[in-house]
Amino acid sequence: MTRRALGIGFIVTTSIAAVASASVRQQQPHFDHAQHAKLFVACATCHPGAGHTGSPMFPTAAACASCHDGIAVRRIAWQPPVLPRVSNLRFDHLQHAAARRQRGDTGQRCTDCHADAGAGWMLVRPPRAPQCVACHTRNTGTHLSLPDSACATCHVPLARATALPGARVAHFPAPPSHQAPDFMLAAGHGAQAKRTVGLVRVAQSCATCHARDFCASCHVNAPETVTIQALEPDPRSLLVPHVLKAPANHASSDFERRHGSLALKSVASCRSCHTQESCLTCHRAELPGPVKLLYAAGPGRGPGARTTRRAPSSHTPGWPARHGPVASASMRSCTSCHARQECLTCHKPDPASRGSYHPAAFLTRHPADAYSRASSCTDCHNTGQFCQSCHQQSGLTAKRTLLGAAGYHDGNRQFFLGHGQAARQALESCVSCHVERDCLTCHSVVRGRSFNPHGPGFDPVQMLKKNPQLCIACHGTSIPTRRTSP
Amino acid sequence: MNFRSWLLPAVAAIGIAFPARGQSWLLRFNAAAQRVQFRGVSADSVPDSLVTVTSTAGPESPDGFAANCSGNDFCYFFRPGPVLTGIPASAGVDMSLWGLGVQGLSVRVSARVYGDLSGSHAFPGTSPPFNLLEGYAEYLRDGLTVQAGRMLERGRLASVGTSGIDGMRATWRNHGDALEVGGYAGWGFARGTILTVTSPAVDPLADFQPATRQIVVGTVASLHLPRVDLSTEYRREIDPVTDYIVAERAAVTAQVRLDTHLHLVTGADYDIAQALLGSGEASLAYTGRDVWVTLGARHYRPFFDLWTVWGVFSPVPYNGVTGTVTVNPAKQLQLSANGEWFRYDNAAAGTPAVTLEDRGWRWGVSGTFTPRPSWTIGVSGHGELTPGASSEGADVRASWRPRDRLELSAEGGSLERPLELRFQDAGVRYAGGSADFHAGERWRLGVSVDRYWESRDRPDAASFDWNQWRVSGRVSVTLRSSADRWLPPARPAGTAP
Repeated sequence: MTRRALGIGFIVTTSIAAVASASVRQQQPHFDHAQHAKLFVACATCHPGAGHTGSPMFPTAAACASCHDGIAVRRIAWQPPVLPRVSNLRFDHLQHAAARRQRGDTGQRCTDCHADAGAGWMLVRPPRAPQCVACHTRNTGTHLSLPDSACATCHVPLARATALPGARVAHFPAPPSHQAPDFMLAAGHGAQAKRTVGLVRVAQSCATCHARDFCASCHVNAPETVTIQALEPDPRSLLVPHVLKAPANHASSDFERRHGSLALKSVASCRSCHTQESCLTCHRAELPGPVKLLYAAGPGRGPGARTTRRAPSSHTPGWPARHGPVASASMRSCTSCHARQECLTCHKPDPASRGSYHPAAFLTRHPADAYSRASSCTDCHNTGQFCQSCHQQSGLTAKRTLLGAAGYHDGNRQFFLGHGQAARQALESCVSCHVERDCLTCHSVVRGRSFNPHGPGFDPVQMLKKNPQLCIACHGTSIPTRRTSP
Repeated sequence: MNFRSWLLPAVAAIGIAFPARGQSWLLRFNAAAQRVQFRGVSADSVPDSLVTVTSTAGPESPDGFAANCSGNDFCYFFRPGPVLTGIPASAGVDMSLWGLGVQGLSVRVSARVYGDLSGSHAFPGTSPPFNLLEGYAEYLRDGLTVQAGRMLERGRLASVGTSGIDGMRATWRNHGDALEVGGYAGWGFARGTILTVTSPAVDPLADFQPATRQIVVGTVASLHLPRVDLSTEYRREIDPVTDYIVAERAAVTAQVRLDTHLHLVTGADYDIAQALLGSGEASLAYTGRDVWVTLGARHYRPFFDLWTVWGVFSPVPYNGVTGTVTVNPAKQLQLSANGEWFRYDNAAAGTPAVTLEDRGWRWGVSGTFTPRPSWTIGVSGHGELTPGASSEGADVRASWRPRDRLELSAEGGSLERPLELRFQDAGVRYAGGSADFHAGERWRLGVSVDRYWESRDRPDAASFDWNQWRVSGRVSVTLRSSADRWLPPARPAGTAP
């Protein structure tokens, strides 16, 4: 039992020690300079590399252990850093010192950069950008207000600053130049990235914060753009806050209407941000010509600008009731956004579907709409297949007993004698219950009682010329030929 | 069903089963069914010796129905008819094939089967059981589009979805796309359906019916300028047996963008065969940021083919003025009103015996309140005081979208509909709900349940009440080849994916 308990205790203790040891190795203890102020009189004691080529920048563990031996002073777990410097500065102490010496500056001290002015001995801190800028610009500028070409003077490209954690990249400050109204345009950052100032390409400075991944997230033509391909890839660049803003002309009220012609003139501009897929958000039916010149989305190409499908300004409330004439005049405009299937959702009557075109309770309401044609019923419904067949089931069709069945129109007992006006006003409604032979019972010369059905606007000559069968149906072969009705 | 009806679906099916290199396809199935009921009338007669004449309602049958006695031995009247129940159902397939090895070549097929699950075929439109709506091949190259097969038409003279031809169509666009000209020819269909004029389904009452289909030829020319879209059409339909004209019409439509906010849309058609102006309209629309106003006028004249005699009865047109106004007084509120006043031309057939209205008007008001993006509440009212029949009613609807893909709605309303030419004041109240679910772009499901309470008020025994449940369901699924991959969901520029 005791052995077993000891064994378990050993394993547990060993495991904890191993984990703790690994943790200590990973977490470099912070060196408290101020606490050691009375021990050291020169920076070079511990940091000889700052002044001598080939010397280490940090003290060795053995050097610390000369005091921290575990007897006089507690032992510490110091190890000189071996990982790359957590910085994106392009700084070399020796080169910097040599440059200052060349300019005759021999009074240089470490505290010039590593401490506040007037600070006590060994009250040090990392150098700050304003200090660098204050010396290098003679106090004429601030860090972020420097020209966009100046970043590369002090900073290495992001892709080379491999030890820089993403959290710091995400908080890179944006220079004020990036807030200019046209900065997002090709004439803004695009032109800037292609410029050369002296012998320095501005793109090198862009690379301080940005890598190819960053540009490619907006520029769908990144694989074809030399300036972007010249940058190194680095996914951390996507952590830099960025918003793809639409150019100002995209906000104009008539942009939807004009964007086609704009695209024809400058499709290269469109394909900076848009793939064919962003056009397909609206242009679902057919691809306009300029779209075919855009790149298709695919591996290696960023998503670019995503578009939202929205109705043009003409599609105001009540548009469904008014769109017919517009669609007739400019069907091509419709088909640029609407697939035929969308039209056929309503324009293909389906007896099995709960109608979306007509309002609820339309079955009861339809006589009022139909009689005076709120809309043209026969555009979508065949009178025979739809109206007559349903009215037949409902007992609403005439059954060759016109005189007796006239009782149906009992709103006026004399209706049969005075139905002419109603018939001429709403003949399509009559036809939904009556067939031709009902009317020809009276309105026919050869088979009826010769009551003249012709009214205003009737042109017998024209009718005879176009289709004499009509005339023969009632008049037989004795068709009156005078222009006025018989 | 003839051989041609099967040919294109068969070719398309083979194409899907044995895809060629680079072939792409889009396939959409849909099915729907609904249960509906309606109740009509049933004609009856009684010997005039049995009719009693009351002091207020005139002749009545022994069981209290108002009868019409025309001087012969019998009087006629109408009893309430039986309640008819129909469960019309349909299933359709829409298919597009492209990437067939010839650039610009594609094939499109759309077909439907119909039926009535109750077996009654009480509801119209369930026969014939199969209908090929579209089936054509299309070839596009350098501004030229050629289509051959059964195709739906579009344009002022041919309603989208219910007018088509079996034939060929060619359209050419110039390089700048400003001008478009085209023509078509083939065999036509009956008006308002994709069935031939020889189909028994379009002649339920055994009226005169042509023995052969009409031949259709037509041309279309369109001009698209920065401020103007102009389209002209000509269409002639000929009876191939007699060589007589069945219909001959021309039309013009135009859209003029006077200003960013001001649009004029106008159009008219002319019946060449009868030398009559057909229907026409003009509408001037102002589209502001929070105000939309439309003023217009329209002229409506019914149109009949010349192989019916209806045209010789000289149907008269009516002329009307219309107006709509919509405002957004608050971000979450939209109010709208519309109206139309119209008057028929003189029918020249009035008699002292019968007085009929020759003018009427319509009005409508509506309000839409969106308290939260997921909620929409709409209220509307409408009225039609028109010759023949009138109606007044109000509706309310509330929609809730708890998720992007799900919408739940509840609605209700009431309607009163008096008739002018028959003693009958119909009333209906209804309440119901519906649910629509979109499972991605692929699946769409919907179901609706409504309860209707109806009444037919008359001063005699023919008045009746009846209620019904109306239930409908619909489903559609869209399948695509990988070549036409699904589009990413749209999002505003700048937002995170």
